[in-house]
Amino acid sequence: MPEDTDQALVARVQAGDRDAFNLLVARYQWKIGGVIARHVFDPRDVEDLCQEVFIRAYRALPGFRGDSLFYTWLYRIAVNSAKNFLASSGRRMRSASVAVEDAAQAGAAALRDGATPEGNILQRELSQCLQAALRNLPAVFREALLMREMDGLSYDEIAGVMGCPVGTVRSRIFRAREALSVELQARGF
Amino acid sequence: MNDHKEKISALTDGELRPRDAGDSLARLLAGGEGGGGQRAVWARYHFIGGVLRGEHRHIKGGGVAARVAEALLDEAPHRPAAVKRRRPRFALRRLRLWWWPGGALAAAAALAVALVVGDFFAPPAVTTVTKVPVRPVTPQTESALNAFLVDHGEFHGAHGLSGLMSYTRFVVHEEE
Repeated sequence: MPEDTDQALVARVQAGDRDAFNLLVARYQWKIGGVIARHVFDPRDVEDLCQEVFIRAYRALPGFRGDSLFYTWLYRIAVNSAKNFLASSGRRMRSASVAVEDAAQAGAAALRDGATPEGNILQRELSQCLQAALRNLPAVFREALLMREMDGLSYDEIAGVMGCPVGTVRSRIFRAREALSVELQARGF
Repeated sequence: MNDHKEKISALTDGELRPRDAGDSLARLLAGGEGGGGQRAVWARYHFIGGVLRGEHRHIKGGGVAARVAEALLDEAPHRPAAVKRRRPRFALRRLRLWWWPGGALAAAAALAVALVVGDFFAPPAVTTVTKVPVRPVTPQTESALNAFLVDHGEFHGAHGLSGLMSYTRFVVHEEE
């Protein structure tokens, strides 16, 4: 049994368990979206590219030998895909420049910006809902979760900061997640 | 149930080794009934992390997971045989030997041996002997020829012979 969760999942996919790949997608889709968004600014393109990155990764997974971490490998695919996209879209933009200029009066800027007002409102509501739920958490739960998610501290490091056993950290983080999960579901997210 | 969820939470953070996750990981990997719920928990915990870090702004709704899962339905599952396993280091070095000049030399020597041995075991070629009329050589011509061969004998030092001996051809004469 591999020592790492990613390794275990990758081994499952390589052995023919296609569903195990969905767990990897669920795990890294947000991070990969963020990586792509640093290169590509249209949200629709970010989503399409994100999907493409994972499909490429799935196809290339038989060649993944574990020389690097899975996320490092995935990250490289994402950056390369974004660069390739920029190179090809640059050509497309040049060829379509006249049409874009013609459409300027009709709000071409709004067309280029894939984020709809409804989408923006939804994202903002989600963030506000989560922030409110965070504030309602007991301080020790909130701090443990934020140290993990925002600061990237390990359980050992959090235990050192909070002065409690690692098992307690694990429990606090889990309880914080559960509370947030219940709150988000209650609000329809 | 909460114990399973807590283990999934720790797996989410990479703080629990798969070997220690026991049934929780098995359920998570199994999917289907029961496992489907575990997978939803896994996805939700990662979603919360993504929202906290603001990464959700780039991906709408439930992310691209559903789209990827749908697209993968058209993809064939990988076969274990198709996976390239990591090879031991010594095998890699052996492969690189061929790029080393010594390796190339060894390959050339092996090829030469193969040619020689192949020639040795090849069926004997059928040869025909034709009689060539010999013209008598005058003493003056013989003397001039000898002098020429001796003067240009420096190229035959490699044979260990000198003088006219390096030009000598040994033949067998059979009486009729």
